[in-house]
Amino acid sequence: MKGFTHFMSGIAAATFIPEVVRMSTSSRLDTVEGAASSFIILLAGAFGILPDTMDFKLGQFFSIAEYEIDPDPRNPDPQAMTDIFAKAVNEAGDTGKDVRVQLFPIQLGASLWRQYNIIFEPDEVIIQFNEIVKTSQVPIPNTAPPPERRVGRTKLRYELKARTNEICWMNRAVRWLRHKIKGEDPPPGPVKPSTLDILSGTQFAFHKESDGKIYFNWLPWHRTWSHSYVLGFFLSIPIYIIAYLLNLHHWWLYGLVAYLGFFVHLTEDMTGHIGGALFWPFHKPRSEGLELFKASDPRTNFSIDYAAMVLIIYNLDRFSTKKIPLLQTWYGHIVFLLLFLVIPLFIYFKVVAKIKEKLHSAKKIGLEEPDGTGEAIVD
Amino acid sequence: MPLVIILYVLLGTVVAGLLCLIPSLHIYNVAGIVLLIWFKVRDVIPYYVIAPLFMSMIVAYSFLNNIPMTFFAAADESAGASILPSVDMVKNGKGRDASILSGLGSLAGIIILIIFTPFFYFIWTYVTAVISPHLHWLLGIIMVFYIMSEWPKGAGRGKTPWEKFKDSWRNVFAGMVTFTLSAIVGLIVTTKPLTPPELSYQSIMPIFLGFFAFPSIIQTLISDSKIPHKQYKSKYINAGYSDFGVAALPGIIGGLIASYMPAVTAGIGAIFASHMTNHRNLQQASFEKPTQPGTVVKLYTPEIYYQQERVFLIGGGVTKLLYYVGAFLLLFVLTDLTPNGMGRGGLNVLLKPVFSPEKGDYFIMLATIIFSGSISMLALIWFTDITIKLLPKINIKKIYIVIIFVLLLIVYFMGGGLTGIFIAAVTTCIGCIPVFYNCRRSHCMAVLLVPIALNMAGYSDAIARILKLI
Amino acid sequence: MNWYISLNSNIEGPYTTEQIKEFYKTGKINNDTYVLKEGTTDWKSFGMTPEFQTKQQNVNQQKIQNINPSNVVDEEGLCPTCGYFAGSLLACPRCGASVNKKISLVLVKKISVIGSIIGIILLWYAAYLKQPITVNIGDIDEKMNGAFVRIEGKIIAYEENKEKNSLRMKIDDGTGIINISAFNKLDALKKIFKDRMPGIGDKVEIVGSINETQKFGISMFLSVPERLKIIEKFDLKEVELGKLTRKNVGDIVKIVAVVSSYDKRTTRKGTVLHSYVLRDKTGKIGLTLFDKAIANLPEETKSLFNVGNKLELIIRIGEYRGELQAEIVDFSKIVKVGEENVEEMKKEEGKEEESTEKEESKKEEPKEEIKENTVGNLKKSDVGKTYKFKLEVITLSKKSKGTLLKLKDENGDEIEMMVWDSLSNRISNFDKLKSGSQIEGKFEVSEYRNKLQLKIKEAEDLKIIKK
Repeated sequence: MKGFTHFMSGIAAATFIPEVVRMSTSSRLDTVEGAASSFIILLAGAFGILPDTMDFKLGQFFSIAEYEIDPDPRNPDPQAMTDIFAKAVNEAGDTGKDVRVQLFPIQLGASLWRQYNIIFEPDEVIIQFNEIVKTSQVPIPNTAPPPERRVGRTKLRYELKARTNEICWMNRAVRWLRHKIKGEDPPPGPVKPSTLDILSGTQFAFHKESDGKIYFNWLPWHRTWSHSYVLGFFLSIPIYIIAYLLNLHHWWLYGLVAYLGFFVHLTEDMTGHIGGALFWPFHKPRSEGLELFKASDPRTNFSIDYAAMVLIIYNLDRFSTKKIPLLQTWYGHIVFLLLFLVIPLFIYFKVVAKIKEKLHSAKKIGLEEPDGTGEAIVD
Repeated sequence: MPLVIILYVLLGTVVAGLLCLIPSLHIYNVAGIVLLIWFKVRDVIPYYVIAPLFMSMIVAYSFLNNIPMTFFAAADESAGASILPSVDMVKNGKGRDASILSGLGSLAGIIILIIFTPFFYFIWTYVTAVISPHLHWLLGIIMVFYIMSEWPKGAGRGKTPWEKFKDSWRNVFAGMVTFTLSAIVGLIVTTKPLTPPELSYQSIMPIFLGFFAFPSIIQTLISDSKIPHKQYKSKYINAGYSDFGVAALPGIIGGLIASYMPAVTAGIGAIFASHMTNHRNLQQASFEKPTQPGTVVKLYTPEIYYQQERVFLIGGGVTKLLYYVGAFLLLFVLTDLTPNGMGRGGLNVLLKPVFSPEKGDYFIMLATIIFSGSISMLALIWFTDITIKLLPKINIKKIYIVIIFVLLLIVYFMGGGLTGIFIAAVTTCIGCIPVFYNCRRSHCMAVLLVPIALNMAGYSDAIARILKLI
Repeated sequence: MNWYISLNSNIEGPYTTEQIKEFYKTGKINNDTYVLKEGTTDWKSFGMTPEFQTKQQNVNQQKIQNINPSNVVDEEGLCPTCGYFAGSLLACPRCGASVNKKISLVLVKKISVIGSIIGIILLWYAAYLKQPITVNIGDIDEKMNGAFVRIEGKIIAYEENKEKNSLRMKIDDGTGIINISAFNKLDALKKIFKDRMPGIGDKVEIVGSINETQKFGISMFLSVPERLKIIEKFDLKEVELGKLTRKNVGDIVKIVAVVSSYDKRTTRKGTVLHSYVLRDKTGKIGLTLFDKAIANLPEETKSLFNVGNKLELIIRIGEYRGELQAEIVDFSKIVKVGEENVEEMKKEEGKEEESTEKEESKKEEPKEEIKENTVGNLKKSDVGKTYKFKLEVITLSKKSKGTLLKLKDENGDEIEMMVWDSLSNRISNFDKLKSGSQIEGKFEVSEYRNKLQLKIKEAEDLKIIKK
């Protein structure tokens, strides 16, 4: 899921604890810290976004690749790039050791990037340079390199695959659950091309498996040690200690709320394709996910964000302010959730999402950016 | 009475509309000057025109400020950090489209305000009543997410983890420094304000001019970029209903957050809204059969990506209008739960000593917004066309030099004399960090966010003790 | 021929051509390493440098050009060595080569960081040294919203709310009244003041930021408890009603009195008034409560005002139409000390009053003679004294809460007088005053910001002779 979704989910989860909501009101008096209110709910949000923060702002720098592909901005050589890529794959196959390749973006302006694709054939890697794109990833027409400098290809001595055979007990459990929910996995298709354009690059790791094929791991540093329930517990320990030393009211609740945010993040991530190394350091390999949603799926993310907001208001009212008349009756809770949560989401999924789908599959524009007609005012 | 109100609405629209064409001059500065004049002539002007007058000014600003923001912002790659879509469009000769798209967004914002009237009265009042005792930590989560969501912009080149970290973290570190320094300034000036008492109603003005106006002017002055003279005037604007539909949601979310949360500006609200609603990932985009010889794939870029620029501009217009106008309009939503309204924003702070709303004023305000907005939209189109005709004759650097002097005079006479100039100088130094070190400029809003959140939470005395500013 | 190489963000050299070729052979550099010929400024990759290429490579290189279209990519922001976007950075993030920047940009970047840190230190120091100025509440206007000031005055109302840990006060400095609120600070204040908490009548000094709204008037939030100081603790005296005179107007005193009568009436505007007479052995005083004030009181407090109850109250002496009036300052401090038979009390007092009136008719209270004076004769030692003046109005200027008159006497000496709206509303024809009007009356000499001023205590003290 996106960072904002994790953030809001963590906060929403924390608001289900009545004492936490009560502690957060600014007129609270019966506490050691007096009327100076607790920011306890912030911990849930901060820890909710922490795993990905640790990965993208820290973890990735420790994943040093054995090979780096940093194209020349003026004169990128796709052939040289594929040669290095193939060399990495072949080395993984030859030596049996894990090999990583880091690819870098090509920034040509504050908002200009040279886009390139990495296409994986079973026995070949291809790099194709495309147009210069803006940061919005919209290509600028007529900026593609000349044909003789667009594509590079190199044969691979080992076949690439996207799904691993070597599954541990955790992956077995995840797969069992996934099959229960979704049914059997479809047969593995071809590895989808990867696009590299804006901001940061990407890293691949190659691992030779028992069947002689190379398992192809995208962003090998992501969701490993940082997405561990065990690590979350250890990271919440300083929170317990600090709250205790500051003699805060319900000091034990601070660490718990922090861990709750962390826990929610990891659990949400398990719904995607990549799971996490849930019990690192005791069990280091990264598991698969339940593949229920795509992490960047806008409908899923927005609906979770919206649900989180409604639930936050719901909890804040029933545990502290008590201003919504509907929630003062027993049936009012059902009506409230129906009216403000279930029905809007239903409308969103059935109506709005359909409109958006139409937009996505609307007539293809091609690479010509639509332009108004007219003449220049001043030459 | 209605005729008098209409006349003053027209006056406010014209005055603010003309003054807001001046780059870097903010509506709150203009409102401060108008208020000063009003103090002198209050016996002549009827009391009931204050609110419509200032409302029309802020509506006009929401529209017409698009012109200087679009055409007179620096696009210097060597000095700049990022290029906004509007500036990019100016570079490509489509500045007129950019300006008018933002205006259309503001117009859509007016329609949204009208449609949302029942929402404000019957739902938003409850929402604000529920979250009111929790505002301090809600501001806290805005700050936490804002800081944590700034992703490293560098690609992470280097042989060692430390080198990679350094390469990536440049902008993140600059953002944290900006946030921290701004927060410290905010804590100092709110704990023990330095402005002379007679001009305290504009005490924030030197701070904001320093954070936002002066760094922009400096950036333009040292930039070598020139505004392209060739600007197209097309018969149609390239935008469809779907653009408005897509832009409306982030605009509404950003605008509502900014209009209610204290110290949260349209920029911050827009960032939150975009995180909630904008989910693009070209990795998910489809690949098609190649159409060019010698290529292997053709990456299909969905229509929604091409929309981004237009959606950004329209959505920005919506957010801007909901923030400036909506924040003031909410002052007039008087219910049992909100007997004093839900108003926020700089205009509320300026006007609260001289004005308080009464029941029924809401619809007068709504009418003012519609009337002023309609005139402003037409004025926007007209002035945009004039601007692009005058572009070859405008030496923007000379204009900015004059504006610096004008702003310094405003700071001196209205912002507290030399004290105001000193404060503006300090905040200008801080405001230059995001501009030249490539991080978000909204980090400067920590000047208000941090003190307000801590004050609401009851830590103001602790801060005074720590800073030794009792 | 000498060369420099760019390696790991460092520039090394000079090296000879042979050394460079040796580096290539040993793998220290490769085709992508950038080299610079001494005497030139054009960095090229090793593989593209003609001096190190074979003939065929030379030919190929001529065909290769920069693929980035110049109408899209602005060379200005790119690294001159490798072509990667450097923006405002001083070194290329890709190859590490230094990127020449305008001096103005380099300066601005450096000044912004250094200036910020030094500026903040200076800003803090300026705030540390700043002493807030003392202002009169009456001088506060809309432009002072948010002003950080000091106010000195007497506490005229005081209310603690233990449930909300809050405190509210009203302070009167003689020129106006300000509301002070301290939310969630009551405990902190009690720690500071301990058993000397401020109370009604105390003269206090408070520092804070003014908050002015059209609806609620002027207020201040006491966010830092240390900013409240007691200048003079009020000594609450118990007085007898008979000894009260007009000189006591404004004073806060304790009385023990019996509620001897009660009358309820409705004004023409529909306001319901509850009028009481409080008596003790020496005299009586009226007490009027508005219906709204009564309605908000708890039942046990309301019942205290039953006729016959003997109460201990803290009141402020006011005046209404020439008669002294009591204003209750703190309803929570009213204590019932007993009950009296009102009729017997009235009979006894009736007899006493007769004899007192006879004695009083024999003695005439020496009337205080108010002398005439002119503005030119006034000195600082006259502050607090009342004189009769005949003055001409030079200018009038309307302030938010009153009118400032600039006056001159027959000798042309000038002085200012502030007439608050609460008084001017009761002065007939005050609104007709203009430049050249003549006034006379009994005015008290006061001082404001080191200048002598005049003020009036009662509306009757000012008469307009000529409009």
